[in-house]
Amino acid sequence: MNRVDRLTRRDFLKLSGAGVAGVGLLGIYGCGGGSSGGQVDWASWANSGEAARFNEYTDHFMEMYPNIQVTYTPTPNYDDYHPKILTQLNGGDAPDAFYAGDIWIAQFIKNGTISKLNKLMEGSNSKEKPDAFAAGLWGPARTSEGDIYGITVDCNPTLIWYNKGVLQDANISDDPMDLYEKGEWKWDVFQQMCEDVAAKGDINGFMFENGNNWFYSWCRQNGGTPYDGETCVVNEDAKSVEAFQWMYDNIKSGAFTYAGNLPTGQASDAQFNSSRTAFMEAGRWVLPVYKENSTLKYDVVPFPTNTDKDMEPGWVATAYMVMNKKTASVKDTFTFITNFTSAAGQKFRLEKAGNAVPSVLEGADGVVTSDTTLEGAKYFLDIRNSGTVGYAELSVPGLVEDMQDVLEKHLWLPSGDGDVQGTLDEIAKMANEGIEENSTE
Amino acid sequence: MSSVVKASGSKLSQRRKNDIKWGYFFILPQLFGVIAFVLFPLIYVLVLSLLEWDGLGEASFVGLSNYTTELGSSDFKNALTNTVYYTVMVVPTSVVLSLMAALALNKLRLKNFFRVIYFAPVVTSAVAAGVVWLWVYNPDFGLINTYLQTWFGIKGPQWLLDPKWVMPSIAIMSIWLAMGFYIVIFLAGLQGIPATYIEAAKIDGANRFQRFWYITLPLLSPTTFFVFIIAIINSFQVFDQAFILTFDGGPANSAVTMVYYLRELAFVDFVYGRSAAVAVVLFAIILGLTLLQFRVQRRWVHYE
Repeated sequence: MNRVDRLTRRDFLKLSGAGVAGVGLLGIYGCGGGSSGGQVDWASWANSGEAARFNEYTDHFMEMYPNIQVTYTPTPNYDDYHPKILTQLNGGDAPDAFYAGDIWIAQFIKNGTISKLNKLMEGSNSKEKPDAFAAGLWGPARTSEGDIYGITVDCNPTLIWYNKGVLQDANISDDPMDLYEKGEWKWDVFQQMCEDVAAKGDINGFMFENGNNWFYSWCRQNGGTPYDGETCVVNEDAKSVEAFQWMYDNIKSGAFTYAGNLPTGQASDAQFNSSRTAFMEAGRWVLPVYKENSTLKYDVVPFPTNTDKDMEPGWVATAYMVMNKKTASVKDTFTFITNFTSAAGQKFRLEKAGNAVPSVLEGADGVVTSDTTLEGAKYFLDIRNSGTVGYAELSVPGLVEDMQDVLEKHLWLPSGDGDVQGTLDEIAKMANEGIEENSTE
Repeated sequence: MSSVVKASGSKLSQRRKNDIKWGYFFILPQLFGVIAFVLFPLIYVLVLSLLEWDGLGEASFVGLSNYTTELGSSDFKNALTNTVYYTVMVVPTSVVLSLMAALALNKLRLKNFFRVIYFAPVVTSAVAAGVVWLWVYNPDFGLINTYLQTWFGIKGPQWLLDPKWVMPSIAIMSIWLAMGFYIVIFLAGLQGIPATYIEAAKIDGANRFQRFWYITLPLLSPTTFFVFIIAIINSFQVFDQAFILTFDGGPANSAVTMVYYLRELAFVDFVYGRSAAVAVVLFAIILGLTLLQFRVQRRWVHYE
């Protein structure tokens, strides 16, 4: 009898396995693809609201420039964003344009992965020339030789936010903004208010954030200069030492509450929103959340000073838009960047969101002044015009965090030894050694 | 299917050869994955630990200097100390508590229901659990301090804000997360113990403790050994809980563990070579501890 040829189970399994493996291999090799001319990819960190607005801007840009296709990729978490960009730069598929934080841009400059923008900014295609932006915002994006590697996308000048309800409950009748306008908003007044609020027991006077930028801002309010050019002199400058001592004394007395270790969602912004603190320091980024709280009564005022002046240079947080050196089309990418960072671009982005301040000096301030939520909104513009981004320590990866760890350990935690001068000597040494080592590499 | 008898000196049948070829073909995708995502990264990390590289520029060979730098670094010692402290708290506690729970559950009628309850944290995302525990640990209105104050009149600690309490806080959460997994393993081990031994012991007059100590525990020793190994390896690799509960390493870096530290070196400080060196040192420590356990197990692990 002849054997009938049938598909045996063994043969069926072999063929199925071969089929699956083949499809899988095709899938692997079929992935990917390149972009053709007229394509710009850009990326940033963004919460959901910001991402929606950036998508709207992307569509708006493509309407203005129909020959340029733009793709936007947001990263929700700021901490995840830069490692992702780093990985993409390593792999050669980083976006054409992307946000770079103030601590990170120096690293990108050092490694030659982003382009110099001076020539492009001076060209006819540029919507804004360099001097259209507030001078103090360039920071690490402009080298000491004047080379510009990033354009500030917008900024966030920092102010003191005060909770009117909490002050009222503490029987404090003076309004900080009125005091400021009369030239009486000084350290001793601020300290007294914090002490009066904290005396109630369960409400914080002032939520004191961890961050060199905040500490140096307080130093400047005392007339101090923590840096002399690129040299950290915070330990030698008497006014800066005095400022640190004042911060330490107030934390010890309970007038200030150290907020540096509070987890996200329970940090000073949440405490303020829950009326558990009278004062906090922040930029305009908290405004959209506070607007949602109809029972919260608040406003903003510049930092109190300890000098004859009513306002000293404050800290301005910012981020930069940079160009990938390996972008396929420099012209198209810069067209996007210059439009994004122009007065018109910033006005478009900030009109609805309301969580930042334009970095250009003219043409977009209306997004701040037209918002009537805050009577003190104009102070954001004042701080933008006179404030600073930071100092040379921003250019050294990891240095700022290390300095903050030392300050926290010795001064801000209850277990700290309180040796202000010794601690400042230590961080100054750390900063100067790090900056020097970084500049010789 | 008849077995193939391979006579000495004779070749494999064609069918057998075909089977072998198809076998390799089927495992090829998986093999590719193992090589690409396990072996290659292992070798890459070893090589990277001998280089100085910031992730973007040129890498330069520096020999063992990354190792000498890290082994002499106070940050490395802090991370290692925190990790050992965490391991000492978590491993014995979770093993003992899991064993106790398994023993109790082994007797219950509704053991399947309780298994689900205890195993639920294991299948919960560590991130989601961490976010909830952040609220539980809030010193002002978190669950723990609220009930300590209400029921016992005790003012609770600052938990995640106090350097002394940060690691115990993380340990508590980790024990809660992992217990379910160990309970299920212990339950399986307990059910593998022949009931005849327990019955014989009862007949001989052994009390409950004696039955547990002289019969159950020794016969459960292979399972206990396995749980110890897994628990120690997991403890040394802790990252999720430390990161979610503190975000920045905690006050005075009291929550910086080895994996957290090597992540900071790579993605914050841009010193990939030193980060790789720390990863290799961590690997060596875990390997050493595991080998030590295997050596010591001859004295206390009893296989039937």
